[in-house]
Amino acid sequence: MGNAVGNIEGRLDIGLQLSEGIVTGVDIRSSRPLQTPRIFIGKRVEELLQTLPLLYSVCGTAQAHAAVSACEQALGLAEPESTHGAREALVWLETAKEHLWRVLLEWPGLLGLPPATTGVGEVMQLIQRFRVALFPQGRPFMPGARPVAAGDGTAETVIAEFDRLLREQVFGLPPAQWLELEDVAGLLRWAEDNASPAARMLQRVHDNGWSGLGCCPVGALPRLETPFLLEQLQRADAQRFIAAPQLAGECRETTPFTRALGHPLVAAVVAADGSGLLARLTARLVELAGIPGRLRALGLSQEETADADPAREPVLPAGNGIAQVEAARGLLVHRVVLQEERIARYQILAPTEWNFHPDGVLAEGLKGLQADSMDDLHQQAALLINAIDPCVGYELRIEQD
Amino acid sequence: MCLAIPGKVVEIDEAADMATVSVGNVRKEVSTALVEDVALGDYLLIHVGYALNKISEEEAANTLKLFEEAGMLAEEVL
Repeated sequence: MGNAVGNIEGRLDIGLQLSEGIVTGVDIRSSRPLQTPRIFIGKRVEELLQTLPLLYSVCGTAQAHAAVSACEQALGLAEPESTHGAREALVWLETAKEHLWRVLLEWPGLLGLPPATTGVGEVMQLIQRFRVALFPQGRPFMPGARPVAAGDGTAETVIAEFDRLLREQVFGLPPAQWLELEDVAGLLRWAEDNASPAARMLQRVHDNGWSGLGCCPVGALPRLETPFLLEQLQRADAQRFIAAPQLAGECRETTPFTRALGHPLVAAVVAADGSGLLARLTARLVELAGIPGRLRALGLSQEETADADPAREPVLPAGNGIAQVEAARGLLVHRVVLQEERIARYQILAPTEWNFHPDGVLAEGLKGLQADSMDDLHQQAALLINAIDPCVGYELRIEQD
Repeated sequence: MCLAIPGKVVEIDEAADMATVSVGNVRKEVSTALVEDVALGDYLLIHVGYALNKISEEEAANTLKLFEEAGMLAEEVL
């Protein structure tokens, strides 16, 4: 397809300055179309919620959850606990699909192996079945949606099939059992004993001495305070914050790695090798292995509880809604302003803008990479970019002094 | 913020699990390994070389209209 269509998705241009075998400078530029949400201005909430998941269909469930939560706040509607839990379960299954995309489609490519497409295709089918099982009436991301009160067992079956898929295609043992690994030695023994793309990837990274690759001191993004987001997003020049966000003048990271930092296995890898490539790959696998358990806890506990207080936080002006959702690649924020039932302003702050900030975690991680050859440097950079995971394609340029 | 573009299937290579989709008069080869029962004339949402799912003709038209409103499709593509 020509440039016109390529431009719709946008891409990242990543330039490396190489001097005597060491990366001394990094230049990250994004052509991601951050102005897209303006097309919702003037539309009704229902139109927004119907079209937004189609536009952003890669992470459409997380986008839809953030959108409906923001709109419910703006409308003064409560999101009952059961609805919130079932919607969150759908987002976690989408996150599983994205992790499997990395592990089964992209990791083999980075290892010089053919992609394993069946797992991702299967999980996409499971997502459809799970959605219908939880919301048989459809439209889970419309204001007022309620999940089924007592399911027919389909949701449990889907979770069991998903658990089996992870066992067969990723871990070689039940995911819950894999999660019991607590130290680096055990992790590396598992990688050595298995032939899955996940195990081979960890083994390759370890064998090549790349475990600490890209280790850098960029801190984790905490859950953001609503007044902070409101202040940033209601400014006339909010677009500058959305394009290159910082917290108190500092870049922050929001990824599956920062979400999994508290897990013993991830903490053990960080203690041994720092916040480098092995820790990031391990964190993705830890999060993936934990998703069946999360689904059981969230998707199936649908006893109706009393409606929560209307979710609009008191700090927000009337007609405003700000929602934060943990999407596959990190924290996703939506803000809506409604006036007379029409959208007056719509803003999306995506994780890629934190993580691929010109001075952010990828830029810092790439600085200082050392390689014997251009090919070696390409491999290292590609692994690190894949681990931090932009949601668009990228082009890597290397310039040698 | 990961946009996906709707394309109409104009050619299918079943053996390779690939299809050619068109957006206006622009064509692109995509993998259909993740979507079942793809037929000529179907509309697919595509992202980084893969078809993600099938959508209706009406949904595709609405989505393309939104891209057009946002000024994100060059005139020659429409």
